[in-house]
Amino acid sequence: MKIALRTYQLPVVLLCSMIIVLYYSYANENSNTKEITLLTVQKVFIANEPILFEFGGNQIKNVVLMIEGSYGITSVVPVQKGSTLQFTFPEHFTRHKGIISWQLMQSGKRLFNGELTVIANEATKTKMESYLGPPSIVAGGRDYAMMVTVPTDSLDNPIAEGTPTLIKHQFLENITTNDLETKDLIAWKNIFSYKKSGRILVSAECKDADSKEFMTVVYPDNAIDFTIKITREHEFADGNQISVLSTSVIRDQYENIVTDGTYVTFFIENKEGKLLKTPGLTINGVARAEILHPDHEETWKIRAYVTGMGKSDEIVVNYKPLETDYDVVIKKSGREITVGPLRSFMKQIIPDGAVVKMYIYQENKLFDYKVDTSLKGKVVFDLLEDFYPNGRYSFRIEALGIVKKIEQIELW
Amino acid sequence: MVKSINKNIYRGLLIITFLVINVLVIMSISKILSYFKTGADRSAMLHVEVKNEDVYLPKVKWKSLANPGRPMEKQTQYEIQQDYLDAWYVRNIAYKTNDSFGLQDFYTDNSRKKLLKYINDNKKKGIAIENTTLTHHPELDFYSADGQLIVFTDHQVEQYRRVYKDKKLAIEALDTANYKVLMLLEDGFWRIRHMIREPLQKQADSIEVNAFAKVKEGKIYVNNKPFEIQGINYYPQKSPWDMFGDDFDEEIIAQDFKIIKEAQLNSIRIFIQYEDFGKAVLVEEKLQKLKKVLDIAFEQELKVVITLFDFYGDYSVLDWTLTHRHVEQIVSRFKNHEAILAWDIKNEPDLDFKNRGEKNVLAWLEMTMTQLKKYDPNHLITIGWATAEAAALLKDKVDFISFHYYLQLNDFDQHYRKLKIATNKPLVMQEYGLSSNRGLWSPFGITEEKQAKYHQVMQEKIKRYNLQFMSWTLYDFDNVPSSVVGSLPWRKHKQKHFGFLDHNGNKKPAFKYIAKQ
Repeated sequence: MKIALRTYQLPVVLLCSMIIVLYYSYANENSNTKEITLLTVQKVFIANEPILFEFGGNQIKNVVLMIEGSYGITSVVPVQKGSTLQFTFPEHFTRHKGIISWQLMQSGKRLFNGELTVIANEATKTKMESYLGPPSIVAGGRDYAMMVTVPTDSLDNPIAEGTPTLIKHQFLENITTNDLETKDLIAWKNIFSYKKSGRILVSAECKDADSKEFMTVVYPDNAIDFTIKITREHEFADGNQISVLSTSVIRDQYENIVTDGTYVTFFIENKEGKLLKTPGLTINGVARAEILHPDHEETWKIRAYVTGMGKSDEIVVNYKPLETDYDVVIKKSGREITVGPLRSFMKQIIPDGAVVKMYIYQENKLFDYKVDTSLKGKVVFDLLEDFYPNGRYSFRIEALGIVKKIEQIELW
Repeated sequence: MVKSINKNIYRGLLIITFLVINVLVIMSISKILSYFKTGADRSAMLHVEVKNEDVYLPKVKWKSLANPGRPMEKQTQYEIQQDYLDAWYVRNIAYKTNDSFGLQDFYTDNSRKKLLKYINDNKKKGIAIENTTLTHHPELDFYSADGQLIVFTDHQVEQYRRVYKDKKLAIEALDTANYKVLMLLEDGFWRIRHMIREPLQKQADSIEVNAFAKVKEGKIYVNNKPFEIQGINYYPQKSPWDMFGDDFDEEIIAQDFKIIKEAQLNSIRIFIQYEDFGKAVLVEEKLQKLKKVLDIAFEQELKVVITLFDFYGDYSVLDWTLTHRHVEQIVSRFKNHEAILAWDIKNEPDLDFKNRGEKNVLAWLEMTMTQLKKYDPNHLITIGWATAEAAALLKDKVDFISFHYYLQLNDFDQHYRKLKIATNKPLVMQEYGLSSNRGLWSPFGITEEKQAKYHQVMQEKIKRYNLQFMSWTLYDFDNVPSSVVGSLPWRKHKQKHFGFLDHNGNKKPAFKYIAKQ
């Protein structure tokens, strides 16, 4: 049988072939989505190295690459180059260290996902941020300052774990270098104090970078026990001169002189067991404090404390009585009482300001109490009629440690 | 004469206008002066005023505080956690709005510069990202001796994000990652200095499972015995929609539960209002009351379906962590309570599809269920869908499917069959009922007899399809809050008469059909 192609059959054949071609192209397009392949094999990128992600596949529509790095997320649209889809990561994603997770999405569906790693660019100049703290420590080897250093590459990415790092410090004639490795983004070293006070200078070095100079001040340790002495112009209890108390040079257990300004308190116990105190601050380890002479015979036991730390020995100081006497003159119907003249140890008129106390009794009961200081050796008490009605009064006068009693004076 | 009166009126008007203008001028000058005299609040300088409101509360579980540097103090740990979470929060907001507001308080200059590059790039491309972290497991690596620097690894940071391109949702994804973080204490804030995404080490969380209830082959089992829900929605007669309020009365509840038990029902459904219970920080008093209710139910051998998040309506991604804390505190407290049958995540969430977006609502529901399972693997989970149509959504995530039916009785079979084909999980008709509301507001409304007839027919259908059910509701109510059905009186009136018992607790005709026939 002869097969002849007639003209009317042509369109039918054409139509058929078109359908076949269309079918195949459609089928191809459909299967293409399934045939996307990841072409990029590189998984580790050095910071600042461009990241170009390529997938194989034709005519793929509606795909985006969602990427997430250390600092953020974004989506990238592809560029079709022949049979490959190219995703160029934004520059900042390539610059920051960490895992970048990616997901290839088509119309909201995930086709592929995976991770790649950006590592620090060790070839660039290393930078360092270092922290030393606290700024002051105490001598003796118990206290320490901590040096922490964060070495990064020039893009501010912390460099790889295990990178050798040196932390160096100098104290007096010693220079010490510690070999360390970075871990958890940092390298660190505790720098313990020495027995001497002074300054420790610290620095760090990592690869080609050196830190600036850091300093921590080593202050002396706590004060230990010390001695005190008293200096005075004379030994008389004249209530006028000033005695000066001073400490020996106060030191810590390592012979360091304590810091200037250390607060020392002198406690004085008098004959009656009462406590007086006077403070002083140290300069070059010595604290000075002053106190007025008593105005009567006295024995003082003195001890000094650096509170909570050191104390001194106890010294005992005697003040001699003036061994003088004074007169009490009563005038104006008993309403003006003059005490004095008060004299000091050489019979000289006592300088102004000696204290005179007068207790006033009526019928053996304390009625009033007056106190005044001397002027040109004398004190005058006026008993006004408005306050002290007419009647009989007794007086007890105390001055320069001498007590005088005046019994039953008639005021009128 | 008239002329001079007119003249005086003009004069008067002029003088009054003059005075008024003067007063206005003086007032405005004084306003300006006082504005310039009130300076900035001095306390603002020292960062002493603390933002007290919790806006971001992902679950944070510290793994270990052991580190070679310095022992961690409780207070510092708290401050670091706050500032770290705030850093995430401002970062999330920055990515959402593509605006750098607030970043400077929680990121140092260098790391802020890095972040800004990402934000500006996204802004240029028209990309906005809604992001929230759900869990953090920080493990302290290093805390410096002077207390100014900290390094930690935040393990298993779960993140949920939606990427919008030109305001259209492009990608939605859940992701888990580790971060290595270095923070510095600068003028009172812990700021992030370095942040590095690290490879994830898979760690299985071991959860102790002590399942009281489970679902096998389309059936609910309680303590390994088959259980069919035959129950009722419950509010006390005096305090509907406010069960745990001031009128809370154990005795009334105990009596009501007894009535329910004696009516041959075996379960109840109760509601927990999100705000009423204290949102992210639960009110202890309310939890105590809930415990009492559960204890009473346990005594009466009633199983309880607890509906969470009643009256909650904000599904936004940045609000998620707060709702998760709400779930966590309630659910972990009662995870071993035997009276509970199931947690109902939300009442009728499909009603919010229109206003809040279906995607938002579904994503929230799904995530909340995942969270809930974490804290209570012992009880079942369901969602109280308002319609049978919506009920097949998330069908693979719930243990059994709950739907409400208030439509025509005649159409029931059609709705039911459609749903039945879609799933082989147990089906529970979790709300249905008819209001016997004949009265002033609806003179031609349903009578109590008609209501009884309705329930009779419903029970027949329940029997025919072997359906599990929870009817609405035990009592007629005197007061219905406006927040439930709005303030229109006829609507309120309708809502008041769904009960099987009337205001005084007398049985209405429908009571005969309260349980399976």
